[in-house]
Amino acid sequence: MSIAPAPSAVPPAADAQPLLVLERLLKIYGEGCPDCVARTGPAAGTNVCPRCRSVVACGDLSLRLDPGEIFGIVGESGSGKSTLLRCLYFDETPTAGHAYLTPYEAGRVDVFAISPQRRRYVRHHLLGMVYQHPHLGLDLDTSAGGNIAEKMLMAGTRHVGRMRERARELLGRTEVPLDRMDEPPRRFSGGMQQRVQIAKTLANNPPLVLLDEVTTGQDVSVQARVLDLIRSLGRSLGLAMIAVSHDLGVIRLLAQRTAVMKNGRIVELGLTDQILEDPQHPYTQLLVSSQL
Amino acid sequence: MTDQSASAPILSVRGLTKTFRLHTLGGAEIRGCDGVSFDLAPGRFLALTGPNGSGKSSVLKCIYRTYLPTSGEIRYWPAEGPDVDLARADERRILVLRRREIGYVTQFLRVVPRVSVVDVVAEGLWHMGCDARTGRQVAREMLTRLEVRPHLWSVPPATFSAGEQQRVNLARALVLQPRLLLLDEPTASLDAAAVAVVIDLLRSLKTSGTAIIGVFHDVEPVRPLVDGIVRMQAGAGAIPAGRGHG
Repeated sequence: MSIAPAPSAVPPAADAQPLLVLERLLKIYGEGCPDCVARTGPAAGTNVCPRCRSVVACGDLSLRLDPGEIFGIVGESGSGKSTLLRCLYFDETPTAGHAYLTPYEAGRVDVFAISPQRRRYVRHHLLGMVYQHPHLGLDLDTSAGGNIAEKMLMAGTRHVGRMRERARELLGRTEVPLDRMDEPPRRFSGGMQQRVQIAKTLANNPPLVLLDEVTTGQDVSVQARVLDLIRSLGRSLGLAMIAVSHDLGVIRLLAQRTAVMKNGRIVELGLTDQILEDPQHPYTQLLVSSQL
Repeated sequence: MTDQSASAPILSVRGLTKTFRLHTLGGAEIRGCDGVSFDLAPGRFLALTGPNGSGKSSVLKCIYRTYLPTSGEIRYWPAEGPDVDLARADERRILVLRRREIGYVTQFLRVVPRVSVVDVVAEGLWHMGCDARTGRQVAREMLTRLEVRPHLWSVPPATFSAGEQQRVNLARALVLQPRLLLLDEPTASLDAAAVAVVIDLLRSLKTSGTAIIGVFHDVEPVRPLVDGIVRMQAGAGAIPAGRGHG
């Protein structure tokens, strides 16, 4: 009696090179002073420096991400989790820190230190960002297909037929009815707009996708559909993702590892099931015990 | 291949202790398990038994690293490469071992809403590089063997009975043919016929070399498979018993 044929392919090992290495990311809003980092954080109970009143949104954050991994970041608003994403996507300029992406110069060059032109290349070829509000990632008055073409133009594609074909493929994958691809997303429901935004993000096959509260504010049925879509895209395309959410339920469904943030710091980082079932930090315990 | 000489363990647990510190309750401490030690060889089945609250599930969760062990060692010998202490290994390493060689069947089925039974079972295979069609095919075969009725296969399992959920949970772990399988009360919600099917499946896994640790309130139904028993007692360390648990 045999059980089942053994699966053929084998995924890369853990000791394989990480996709992203983030080292000591610091983001301070305000002038900053030598005391900023020491006098803020969970122990101080604030991210506002008592001396200079600067806000330490991200204080010395480090993490490593494997290819194909979905990494969760959970925390209340103001914990710095969205700022982390925005720094990685070059929406914000970090105050200090380094980031290395293995697909860029074999991970030997700090992408926080490269020229604006090279940054644009990284942003359009290697990264994707899905914002909570579709209007931040989409031009709501340009057709759904046109939005995807625009993202491809940014990466240097000029072939109209190819762009059209790619738009069809991506909208199909994200379950947007193809007979509506020439309509502007403004006419779509919120859930459908979100799926167009995801399709646009994938236009240039980025190895790393950043998700900022992608299901927040949606109906639960829409949420479930978007989460299922994100998981299956991650698996079939081998995408790595960083998913930021204030909702532990979303993180539980998406992420294998999770970091918990408070006052601009990572207070705990572990396997998602460990974070949920055996939280170590007082703040994580409070968060988990407050979960509905 | 069954390793009858059973000299080289796949897992060696020494002095495993888990204490929970509850900050929300003023730092109160709760004991999970205390000073648990045992060895397990490939193809062997070890049963953990004991009353409620004796820490049986805590041992499994520490091995799977859902719990962070407080002290002790959980040495595991993977298919390739040097041995690793699961109590302390890097999380990324744990994730690879979970995906490839350590399976865990919990008492409760937790899945993504909207995902069908077939896909729930096939997902692990996909993560191992199986294509979508083959994965679903293998999943259907396993569901057939566990006698989950075909008209349920395309339905998300959220509304299933406890027994059906239990079978889906088992199917999900068994399709991966893990080297080490952790079972938490795998037969609790099953009728006698279903238990017989599960015993049959576990026996063939054992024969192919899978090492199994099962938590049982009542070990009798699976007795024929069991090679060793660790009896846990509330508030005390584990007392190994039975014939050579290794």
